[in-house]
Order: sequence, then C-alpha cells, then structure tokens
Amino acid sequence: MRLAILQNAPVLGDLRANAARIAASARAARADGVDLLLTPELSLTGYDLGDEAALLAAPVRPGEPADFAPELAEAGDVVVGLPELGGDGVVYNTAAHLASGRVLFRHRKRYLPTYGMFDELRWFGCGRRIDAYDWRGGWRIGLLVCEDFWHPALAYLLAVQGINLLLVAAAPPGRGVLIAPHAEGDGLFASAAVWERMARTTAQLYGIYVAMAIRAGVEGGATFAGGSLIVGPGGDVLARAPEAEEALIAADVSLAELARSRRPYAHARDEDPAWTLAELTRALAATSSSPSRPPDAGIGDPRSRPEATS
Amino acid sequence: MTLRERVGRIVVGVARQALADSGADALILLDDGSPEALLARDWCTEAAGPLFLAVGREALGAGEMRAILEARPGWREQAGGPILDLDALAAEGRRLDARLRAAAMAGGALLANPINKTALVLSAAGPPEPLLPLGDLWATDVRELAGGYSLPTTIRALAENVGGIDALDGALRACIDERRALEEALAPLADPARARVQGALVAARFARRRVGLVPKLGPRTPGIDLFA
Repeated sequence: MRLAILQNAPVLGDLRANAARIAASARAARADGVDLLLTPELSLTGYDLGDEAALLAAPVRPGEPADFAPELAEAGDVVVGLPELGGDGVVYNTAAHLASGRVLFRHRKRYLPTYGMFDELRWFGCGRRIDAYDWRGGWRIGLLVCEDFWHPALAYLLAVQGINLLLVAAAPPGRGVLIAPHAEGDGLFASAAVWERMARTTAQLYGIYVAMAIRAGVEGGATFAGGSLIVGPGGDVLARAPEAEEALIAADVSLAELARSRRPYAHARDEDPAWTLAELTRALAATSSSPSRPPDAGIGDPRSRPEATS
Repeated sequence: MTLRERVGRIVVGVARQALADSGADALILLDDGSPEALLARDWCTEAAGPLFLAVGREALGAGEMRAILEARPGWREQAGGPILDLDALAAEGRRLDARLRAAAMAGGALLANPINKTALVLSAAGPPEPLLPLGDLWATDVRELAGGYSLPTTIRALAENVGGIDALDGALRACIDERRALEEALAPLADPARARVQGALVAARFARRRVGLVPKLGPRTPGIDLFA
C-alpha cells in the first residue's frame, strides 16, 4: 500500500478553493500509485476560523456522500479535516476518511486545546468516542487530530482495538525558533523534535505505522510547522516533509513488514487491557476517595472524576 | 541554518501573508535608521518585493518622496494634488508623511513598525501600526542579530537604572516568557528602579491588549498568547 501525506497551507475560510487544491493533489498522487492520502487538521478550511467555524460546518455522516466537498468525489481515498455540524447541533473539529466521495469514517477531536494561544473550546465540542475502522487489504486504522496525540491514552485505546496504522491530522504552530542551537537537529522549530519523538515512540511501542500530517502556511502571527512524517513500525522515519512549506510525501507500507517488525518483541502480544481497565478503575476510585489527596493532585480534570459525573 | 535565517524566515512568511490578507498594495516600514529598522528592512523587502517602501518616521526627504511618487503615481493626488517641483515636495514633507499614513491606514498600504519586544511590553502607548515584525524579539535578541538595539529614551533610562539591558531583558523574559510571578521575576533588579519596571509593565497592560500583528517567535507573543 502506498501512503501519502499532503502537507498543505489552506486558504483560511475558503473550503471550495482548498477542496479543489486537495483534489488536484489527490489526482496527482493516485497517478503516482498512492492508495491513501492524509491531509492535516482542518485542511479544508484552515485553522483559526473563530466563530466562522459554525458557518462553515457541514454534516459528516459515515456511509453517506461527502456533500461538503464534491470536488473530492473522484479523489479516491483521502482523509480531510473540517468543522462538522453534528446531528446534535454541536460543531466538531473532525477528520474524515472519504472513499470515492463517500464518508467511510469520521473522528471528532477529543481534546480541544484551550490554553496559551489556543481557543478551541470556544468554537468546538469534544468528541466522545475513540474507534478504529477497517479499510481494504487488511488495514485497520485509527485516526486522531492534533492535541489528541498528546494524550497517550488515545493511541492506547486504538492499539487495543487492533490498529496497524495510526493517522494523525495536525496543525501545530511552530515553536522554539529562538532556541539556538536546537537540542535535536538544525531545523526551523525546536518543537518539531517533540512531534517526531511522539510519532516514533508511538510507532515502536505498538508496532504500528504512524503517519502524521502537519500543516504548513501562516495564519495571523502563527507559522505552522510542517515537517510531516511517515514512520515505520520499528520507529524508523520512512518519509519526511520539509518544515513550514507545502509538500507531498509518500512511502510504501506493508502488513508483512509490520508483522516482521513485531516478531522479535512481545509488547503488543502481552498487552492486557482488561487488567489495565481494572487497575484504572481502582486507581480512580482510590484517588477520588482519598481524604488526604487534594482534588487537583492527579491527572485529569477533577470534574471528570467518577464522583463528579455520577 | 543561522538564528538570523530562522527568524527571518518566520518574519518574512508572516509579513507576506499579512500583505495578502490585508489586500494592501504596499508594505511601508517606518524606518528610523535603528538596528531594528535595518533588520526589518531586509525582511520586509524579501516579503513584499517591489511592494516594499521604507519611510522615515519623522519626515520625508525630497529623494524619498520622488521615489515614492514615481513608484505610486496615484498617491500624488492623495498627498495633496499635482505638485510640480521636488523642493516644494520636500517642504511638504511632514504633511505628506501624515497623509501617507492616513492613506495607508485606510487600506492602501500595510504599515510596519520595527519596535522590539522590550519597548513593546513596557510602552504605555503602543504603536498604532498593524504589523510589528520584530515584536517578539527582545532588545538583546536584536543586539545578537544586528549588533545593536534601540529603545525609547524613558525605557533606555529604565534599563540603565536596573543594571543594563541584559538585566532588564532577563527580568522581562522571566516574567513573560517563563511565566514566573512578577515579584520573583523582578527580584534580581536593583531598587528603586525595580518598582519603576513593575509600574511600567502594569501601565502598559492597556496598550498590550491591542497590539498589531506580531510574528510568533518566542514562547509568549504579544497579541497571540500574551494578552495583558
């Protein structure tokens, strides 16, 4: 299977123009033998939409035509990002796998950064499910959006569901321009090293392919980092895009290679999610019932603890 | 890639996008001849190409005016109607400068002010220009990139009173970039100037809430993740 990443720089708020550009890239990629094209977070609209997210939001229903982007009807398999108008009226930051113009799968971003320069909880609702899905040729795919990847429990939940390919659609602004020399490499942004570490570590820990599409371009004062990666199940970088500029990268991936990479190890085989669940339940109960433990001492928002939601 | 190349690449990208987003037909840098202006001049030229103009902050000389009016014939009328000789143009310098600014603010051009971050966070009256290409570079960063820096007289005096620009920028970095408590960040500074720095930071809060566009370079950038 040939997997590609389009590292695009969307025109902010212009879904039609962005869809047309992605469609053109997808056609070129298919002509080059690409089977699946991944694009970054909110690749159809740009990132800093503010309350325009609600105006651009469109229904994204698995199994139905992708009416929000008819330009992609002939684009083959492509993963795009857009504001989704949910059936509950909530707008979600969604990544959708389109197959010949129909929605095969959608993932609603679970963790919406709302700190520092980020403001996503003002405009989007949180997704509540982490599901894997099957694709042709025996591929089982997990899809995450940007900040989701910083929460290792999500990759774990997908690994438990048997994925062999993790797709991450992201739009992180580049950080650390003034840190010189960078701790790792001579790139534009120190932050690129962090993303690469996460991708390579996740791939190696679970013995899966990781494709991470990071957008390029500028919005306001923020420069998006680029540096998209395709990482093999041994943690090796198979393809790398340049920083901060548009690019198309591709790599061949195979289930046989994935099986071979897992053979010397037993990490995936030995994982025990039932035991993890039992321990997690016990730990949360102990944390919430401990009189000596302040409510903000553990990981997680105290409001989401069992006693607060029951 | 050198630090100057890295920073330049970000500033050029942001300035180029700002020019496109604003629909402006020119990028004007208020060029006061400072080290900041020299840096910004290079990057604005790269961002805007033939759409870049550098304009002195105080007034225009005859040569500058000739260059501007030859490059932008349509501005002659905005600047005061048909003016036949350049000596007269020079005499009209200040008024023309003001009118150019007004025309730019109305959408004809994008104005850029090369103020550095030290001056920006301590100035109670922030610059009105919509693009601040060096607004995330401390004075000491500019010194590293350009061999010198500039500050308004009052802030330069403040720096001297607290032990120099390195001491002042060190305290501001601790307070703003590293998010340390104000008292802790300013503790290394000499009294009584420390209280004056604290007073200046507080007095500048109002201005910091409405700064122009600053290319993000550091961990906390005015207008992006530094709001007060």
